[in-house]
Amino acid sequence: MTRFLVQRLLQSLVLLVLVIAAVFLIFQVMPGDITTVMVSPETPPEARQAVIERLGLDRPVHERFAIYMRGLVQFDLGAAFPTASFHGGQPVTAIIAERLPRTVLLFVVVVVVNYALGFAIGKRIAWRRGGIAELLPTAIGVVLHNVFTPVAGLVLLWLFALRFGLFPFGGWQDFTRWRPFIERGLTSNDVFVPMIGTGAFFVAWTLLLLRSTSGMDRPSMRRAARAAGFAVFVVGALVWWQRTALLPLALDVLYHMTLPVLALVLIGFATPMLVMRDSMLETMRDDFVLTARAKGLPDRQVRDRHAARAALLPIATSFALAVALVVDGAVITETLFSWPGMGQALLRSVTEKNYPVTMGVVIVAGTTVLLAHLIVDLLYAAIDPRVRHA
Amino acid sequence: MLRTVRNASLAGLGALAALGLALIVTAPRWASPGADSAPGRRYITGIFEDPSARNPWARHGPNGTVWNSYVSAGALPALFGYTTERLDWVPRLAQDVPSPLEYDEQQRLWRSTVRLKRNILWSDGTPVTAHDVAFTFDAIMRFGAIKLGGNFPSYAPDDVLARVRALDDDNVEFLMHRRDARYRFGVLTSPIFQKGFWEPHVKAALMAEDPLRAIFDVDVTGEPVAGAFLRGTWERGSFIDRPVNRRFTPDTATEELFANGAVRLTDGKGETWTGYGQPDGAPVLRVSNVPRVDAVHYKVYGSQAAGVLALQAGEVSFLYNSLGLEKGFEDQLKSQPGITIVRNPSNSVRFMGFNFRREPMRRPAFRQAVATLIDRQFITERVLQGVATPRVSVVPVDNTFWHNPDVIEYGKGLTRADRIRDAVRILEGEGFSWTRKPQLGADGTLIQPGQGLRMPDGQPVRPLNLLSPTESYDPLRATFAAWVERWLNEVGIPVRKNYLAFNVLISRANDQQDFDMWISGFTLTLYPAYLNTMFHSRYTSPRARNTAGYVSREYDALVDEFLGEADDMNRARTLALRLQEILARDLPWIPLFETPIVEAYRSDQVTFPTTRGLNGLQGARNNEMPGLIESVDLAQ
Repeated sequence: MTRFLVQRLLQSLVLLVLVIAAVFLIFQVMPGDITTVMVSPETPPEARQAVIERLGLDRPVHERFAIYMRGLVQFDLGAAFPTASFHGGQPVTAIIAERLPRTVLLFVVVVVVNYALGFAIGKRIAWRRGGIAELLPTAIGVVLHNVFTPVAGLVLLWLFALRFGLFPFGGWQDFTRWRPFIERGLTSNDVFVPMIGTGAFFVAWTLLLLRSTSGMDRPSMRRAARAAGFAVFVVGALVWWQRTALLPLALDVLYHMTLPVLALVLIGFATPMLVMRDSMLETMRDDFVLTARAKGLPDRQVRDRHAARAALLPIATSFALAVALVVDGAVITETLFSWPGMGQALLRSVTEKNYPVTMGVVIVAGTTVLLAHLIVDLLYAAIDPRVRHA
Repeated sequence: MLRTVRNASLAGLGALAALGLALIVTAPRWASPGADSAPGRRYITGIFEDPSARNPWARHGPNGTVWNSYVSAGALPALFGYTTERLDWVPRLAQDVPSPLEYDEQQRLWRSTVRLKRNILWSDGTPVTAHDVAFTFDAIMRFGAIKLGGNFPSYAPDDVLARVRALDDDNVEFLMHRRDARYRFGVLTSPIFQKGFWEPHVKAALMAEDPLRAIFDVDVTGEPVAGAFLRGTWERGSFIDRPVNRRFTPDTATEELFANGAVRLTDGKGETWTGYGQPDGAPVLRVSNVPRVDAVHYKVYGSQAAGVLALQAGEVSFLYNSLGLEKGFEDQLKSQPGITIVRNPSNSVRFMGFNFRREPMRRPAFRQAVATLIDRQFITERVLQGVATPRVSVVPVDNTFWHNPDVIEYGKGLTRADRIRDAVRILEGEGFSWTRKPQLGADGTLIQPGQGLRMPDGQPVRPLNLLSPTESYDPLRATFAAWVERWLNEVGIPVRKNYLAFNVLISRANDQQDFDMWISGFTLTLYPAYLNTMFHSRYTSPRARNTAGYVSREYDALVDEFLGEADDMNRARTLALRLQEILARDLPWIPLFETPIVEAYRSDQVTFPTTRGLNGLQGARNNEMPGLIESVDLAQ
């Protein structure tokens, strides 16, 4: 297992270097002079030359790549070029640190809701295969899945923000609520990071709680222990947020997240739903499901405790990869809902040829994807006894 | 085994509970501020991108974007500026026009002085003095205007400005290498930085490894300003909020424009300055620069679509966008109650340029024939349905002082058949010939396109290229390219359009000078210094701006004279008009069209002092002085 882990880590590292080199080279071979996007054509030649020298663009490509890789080893992703959306000289790590929490919060929520919904519907429609109960959700899911994301977003904005006035047109904050805090030095990440932390704490707490109470013999006692555990978490979290005085701001973020989450869930829940459905259909043909039925167990118990659990593996894999690919999905949504995260940084840096920023975002995204693959591989090895690594 | 797992889980739960407790005890405390104590009357606008910086050095430097300029508008004072709508050059911080340039034999420099208005205050309560002015230019020159880039080379052109000295608190002396109009329209319009705030930063930056990065990176929160609104609060990606400057002392409290061209300005103390003649009758425009709102708020939207919906809902009163509204959004908004749409010219030009270094483009007759064939009206009105307006002179019509309305326009008013006949006549006059000459029917339709065009020496005209931006970058220019290709091929000029990404286009035309004809565009300045930089023969090298390679001794001499006229504006104007005549005759460019700026605002929420002017509502004056904008709906 250790040997496998080391091998996979090395493979991932080589892949990451190849990705970085490819992205770096793509920017070098793109036609046209990169400085034309940074300085106006009206800029005098001397001023333009000064910009080129200041950014080190007069050096050969291999030298620039070597400098970049040297910096990367020291966790220095370089500095942004001075283009329309980025302040020249701003460290790329600072840009990522500012934007990553926004993307993580929005899209992890989306992915979790998508998969929770997809899992719940998927197992049910597989169980009732052939009827309207399968056909209707499948048709709705597939139709919504094929809606162009900007169109879905605009329709939701038009309906819920313009017509009904229920939600804002974008962004993550109500100015009047946030301004006094911002004037005291608060940044949005002072709210986003604790929100992500609360979520992570909740997941860890829940897993440990379920594990530690699973051996209780009496179901009523188990339920009571779990309820008490959840209550402790809720009270603790509320006390923390209350003490920081940031609770209204966190709720404000959640309120602003509603429309983008709704748009992405409507478009995205079909994928996990169909994966779950297919996996369930496979599992339902297995002998152990038949045995469970033969034992006279209730239908719901057979579905949830036996079939659905066994069918979970592909959806868990898909979930891990979906979490890793959030940056990919963020490009359009963040632009439409004025949620300036990693996706928007990627989009703008690519269109402005601000390749230090693009590379920074790609490296973060690439690292996450490779890590997710690694975790999935390890999960497979750990969970499924049929998978063995030589 | 199960028990071990359960015990480990319990231990983990306990550890997590302890961690949670520790987090609660050490939680950072942001004291609850209660209700928003800030004044509520805000002029709320939408922008589509964060500024890259609010730092004024960065704003005016090479990284300056329109968004930087919108959110910093009017913060720093200038000695001179332009009036609303008519764009007359007038004193702002200065009490009067500068003294005429006089040659100082001892210093071998040209000398001029400017007297400042008294009691104009920075927001920290200190007065704006001649020392601030001298410090500003000294700092720019220490960094190097060229190195600073952006607008700085025009604020302190090193071939013009020698040094600047404060004679006392109120008088500042400018010493110049030569007489040059850039003194008035460049140097004297420079933003003035407060010495008290910036001096330590400039000193530190000059000693840093990278002085420019150091000065561009200075945090300007709390920087004293002299405008109506402070720097305020900036939440990246979300908003910028600029509260009113309670110490605001306007250098121009009232601006009055008269029908006879006269201008009367009144400062905060009631003292007046009159220029461009004596006021006669009632003013045609009266603008008062007193803030009527308590804050200006810029809300960031990720897309124009979301911003337009927000405007429709009344969440914002106005949307900034240097390119104006797209046609679809204009249609979406024009029927909405409470929304007014305005259309104004932009200070820019889209043109087709020739490469004078190559045959046959170097021949005036060839260029005139091409100009005759291009029917701007047809494309702008019939094809583009009025989204662009035809352009004849290099200087825009609405830059009224400098524009020449009487330049020659080849093919003006001719039908297509007459244009073809005229072009053929011009080409034949130069000695061009065809293997098959274009033929027109009795009704004027083209029966036989021209083929095998030959140069006067009998050599065939090689296939020519016409570089143009792609349809996705600019459909208007791409459309023009398609029509120009068609019309030129009709008379046998073998041209093929070549759509290129914009940076590739610039690279090919400007850097490599590898093109025959190209379609491009520029944003222009109010003072037409571009008549020099884009057409003088000293700028024909690669990466310089005379991309055409146009060389005319007559033009060079006149443009030098124009630049040197730093005192007599009427003479400078006469020279500018003559220069436009020469350009229209020689055709290094064929100006094609300009795109109006279409903007929408909530007329049920705000009023603007004027809705007319170059570059629209977001144009210089409204943008410089957000205090001009009156909030109708104070509940905003």
